[in-house]
Amino acid sequence: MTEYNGYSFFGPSTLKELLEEVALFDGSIAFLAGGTDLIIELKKGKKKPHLVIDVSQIPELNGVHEENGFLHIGSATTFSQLARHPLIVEKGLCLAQAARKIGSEQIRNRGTLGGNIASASPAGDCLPVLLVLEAMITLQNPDGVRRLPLSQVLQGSGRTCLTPNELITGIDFPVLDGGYVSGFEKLGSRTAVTVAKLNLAAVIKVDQENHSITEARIAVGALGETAFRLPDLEQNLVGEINPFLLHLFEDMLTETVDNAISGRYSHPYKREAIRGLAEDMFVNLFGASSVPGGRTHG
Amino acid sequence: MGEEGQGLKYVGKNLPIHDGAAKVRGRIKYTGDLALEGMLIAKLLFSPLPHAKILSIDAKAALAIPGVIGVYTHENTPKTHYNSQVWFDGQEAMTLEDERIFTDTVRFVGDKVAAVLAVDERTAQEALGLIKVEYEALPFNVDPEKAFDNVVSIHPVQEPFFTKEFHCGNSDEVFEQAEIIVEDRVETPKVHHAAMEPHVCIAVPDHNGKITILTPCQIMYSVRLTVAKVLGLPFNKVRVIKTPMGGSFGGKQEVILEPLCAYLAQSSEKPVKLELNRKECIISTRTRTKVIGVVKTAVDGRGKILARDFQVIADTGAYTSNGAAIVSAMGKKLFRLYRVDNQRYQGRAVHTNTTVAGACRGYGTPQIMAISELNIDSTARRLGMDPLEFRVKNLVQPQDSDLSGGPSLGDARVIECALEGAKAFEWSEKRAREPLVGRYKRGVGMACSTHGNGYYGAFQDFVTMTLRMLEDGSMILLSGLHELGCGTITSTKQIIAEVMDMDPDRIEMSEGDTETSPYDIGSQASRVMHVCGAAALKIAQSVKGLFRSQAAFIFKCSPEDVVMCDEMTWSIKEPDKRLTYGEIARTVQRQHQLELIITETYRATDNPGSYGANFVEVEVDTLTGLIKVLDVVAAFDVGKAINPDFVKGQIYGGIQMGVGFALTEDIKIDPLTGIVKSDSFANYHIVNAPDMPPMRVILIEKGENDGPYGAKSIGEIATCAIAPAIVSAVNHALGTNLTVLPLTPERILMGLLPQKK
Repeated sequence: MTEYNGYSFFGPSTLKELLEEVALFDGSIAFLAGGTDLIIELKKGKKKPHLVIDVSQIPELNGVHEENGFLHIGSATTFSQLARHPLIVEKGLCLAQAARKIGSEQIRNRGTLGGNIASASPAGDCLPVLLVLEAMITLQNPDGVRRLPLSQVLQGSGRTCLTPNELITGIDFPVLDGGYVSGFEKLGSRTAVTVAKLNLAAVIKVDQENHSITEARIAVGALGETAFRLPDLEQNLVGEINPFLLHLFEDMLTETVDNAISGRYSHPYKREAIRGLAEDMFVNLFGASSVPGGRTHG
Repeated sequence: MGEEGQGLKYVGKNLPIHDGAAKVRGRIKYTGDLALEGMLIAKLLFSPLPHAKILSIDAKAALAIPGVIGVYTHENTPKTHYNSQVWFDGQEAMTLEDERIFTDTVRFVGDKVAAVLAVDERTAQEALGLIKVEYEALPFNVDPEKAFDNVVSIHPVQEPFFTKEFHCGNSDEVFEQAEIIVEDRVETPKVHHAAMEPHVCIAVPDHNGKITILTPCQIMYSVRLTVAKVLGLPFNKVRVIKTPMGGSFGGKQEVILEPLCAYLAQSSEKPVKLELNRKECIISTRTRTKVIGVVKTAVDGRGKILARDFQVIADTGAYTSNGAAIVSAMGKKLFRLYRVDNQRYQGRAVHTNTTVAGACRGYGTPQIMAISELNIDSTARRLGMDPLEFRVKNLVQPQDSDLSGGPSLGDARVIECALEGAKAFEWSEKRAREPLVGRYKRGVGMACSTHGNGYYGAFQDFVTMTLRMLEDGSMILLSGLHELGCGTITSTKQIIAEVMDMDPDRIEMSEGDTETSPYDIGSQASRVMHVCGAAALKIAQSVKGLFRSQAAFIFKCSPEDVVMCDEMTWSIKEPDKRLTYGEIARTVQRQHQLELIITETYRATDNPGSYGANFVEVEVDTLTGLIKVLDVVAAFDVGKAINPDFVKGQIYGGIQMGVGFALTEDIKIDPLTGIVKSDSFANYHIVNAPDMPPMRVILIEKGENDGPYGAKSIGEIATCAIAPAIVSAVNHALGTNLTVLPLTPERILMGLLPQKK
């Protein structure tokens, strides 16, 4: 262990090593994955742990595999890996889309899915996606393992249910088979390297024969302390696909914004702008012909 | 002005910038990279309140930390008042001196309260947190329009503290009779310079009471002046060395950190480094001046401008800085772009409890052009005229005079910029296009601009240089040039190389050092290429004359017969007997005991306008309010491009800054707390690569002025027309008349609400 800038540093190469150290260590611990948030907090003195443990070099926490109809993702898997991983692209496309829109190329090369959850930013791009994928989060400490739905892990802006000696080790969700389409859309103040003012994730099951939606899962972010699902909207989307569906989708999203942030400075803007995201989502899920006049954007 | 006749060898060529490769390889040591033996580190404590009296400062706990050398506050530092923008001795008369190293009354969030001096940064940072300051909060105001009420007193002066009027003709009379009057109110934001390198300096004391200051500055003699004043030192005991510049855009034009850093070095008798981080640069250094302008234009039915009236408020922030100078600078530009016989400009400057404004690329021109050009646009709209046609009808023409009494506009080719730019952009075709139906709207817009070329007509503008040829024929120019990264050094080498007919790489140029450089006014007022470049040309011609007369002795011919080519020289009468430049220099030293060296002062003799016309196509997402700039054509009358790639580089960068000025950049201040909300690059968005449009540049190079080979400025004007052109394009796309910058998505959607209902 090397003494480094006021805290000790430990770089284990197995999860076992890590948990042993955690069990022995008497003091506050911060887990370092990509470090895109943590390093800044350390530098600003917002976090002053006694020990920083680097989880990025542990093979068990890295990578994507499929098992029994579930995709398993190591918590230290980077956004760059997720963005182009064939399994994610094929069976959880919305997550790949979100990963592509996070931060900059450099951030994506470092930042990890586990870190996105642990940071619990209200605008975290992967969080609404993991909600619609119905992801379960695996947490471990020396005393044992817990597997919880994301909604239970997220407790508020920057707050999670993690105990001080606990880390996120994995994320899993049921694969989206051919009957599903999924997508992610984000609105920031510029095209790239931007924090979401709004983000939106959707998983939709389409019955092609009957031209109808049989299942809909929708979640939004940046409209409160944590991302959240929209059960009423989801129910309303189920049924036959008709020309009024987009309008309904837009109206209900505007209503969601009204309920979530009325009175806030950003409210008048977001209640309008989310309609743009709704349209983008329809184009993403169902193609340009699903919006009136098609898509004229170059 | 230039060498007669023959084709040019080096001028007009795209030589690479002299230190580019070293910068790319990380071989340049910026000031922040320097570590001197025994160097101490200073960190600053900033005010958390927008206006408050400091009742007490308790530094005991901070001083108790091992490694802390001292804590400095208003109680134990010089109380000398100064103004950070003063750049020559005697200029004080026109500006208020209201700054001190540390104040006993903080006037904005970010005002300097105390400094910790320690052996390293961590210790300094830790100690900073232990300083206890007791404040008595005072009423504050962040709104420049409210400053006129004089309810909050920031300084013992009435607001506005400065008023400037320029006029020609009789606009009141014309407005009374005019049938068509179009009025607009335009607002431009406070903007951060966003140089990559933060503000930094190092001060080094010596055993003789001299302080040497290493600083990436724009005006070393301004630094010397203010430091000498605050420290009570004679000028020759303050040595300022201009270090490699990591970006300035006017942000490092004023004297901000140096007096404090020099005082800490003097007091501790140790070298001291003072370096700010990004947040500190944003909240506590300088900003572009926020400006609010109400403009009226009277026209006749055929589109001739009869009169214009401008009422402009400049918000200079908590200290006066250049508040008066920028109000004057803005007004002058208005008499140099359109032919308006009856025009009045009244500019007023006020203080607010906000970050101090100062020089920022264009020095008020981007603001006043936004005000003027958006109103030109809405006037054309009212007339039902094409904005290009309306402009061309009214723009100035070559050799027009400045009706407010300024220097002649010179060979002002703005109409050519407008017409050439329009052609390349396919303005008429795009303007006539059917509007898109649906969510995305497209529009095209344009704007024109002018900017100056130095101080001629306003202040002294001269420069002294020493040029010498060494015994091997290589040359050294001694001058007070300040390379800001724009290519000053390489361009100046090109000019001297052209005159001397030699490889530019064989010419060495040091930059500013107040102990060894002759006097120079500094890199400001868009003067460097036009004035210092002309000085370099003149002195090269003088050295060439000396060289020829000496070579004539050696060749036993007349000086007119001496030929100089690629560092070889001969008499036209004996072409076979050739000597190198070095052989001449050596022979002259041996035989005549003479060095080929000349020192000369050049005085600027004109101040023509540089001109530009920018054309922009945008696409607006009417659902999210996001704007995409699709295409830019930028035409500029630069007289002559000494190095066309440098000129284009300036234009590309100027457009990048202008897109931000138009769309995203805004130092937002919370009206309830006075706190800067956009205090990092996470929430202060400059335009990055994915959002940059393709840019096409057209250079009009007709010379006809006293610059070297006819060169005029580009660095500042490059960012002066782009923002109003973008806003104009958005208004064209949406059928709106939005005039508050930046056009954030929020403002776009709010602007569209009336249409949606």
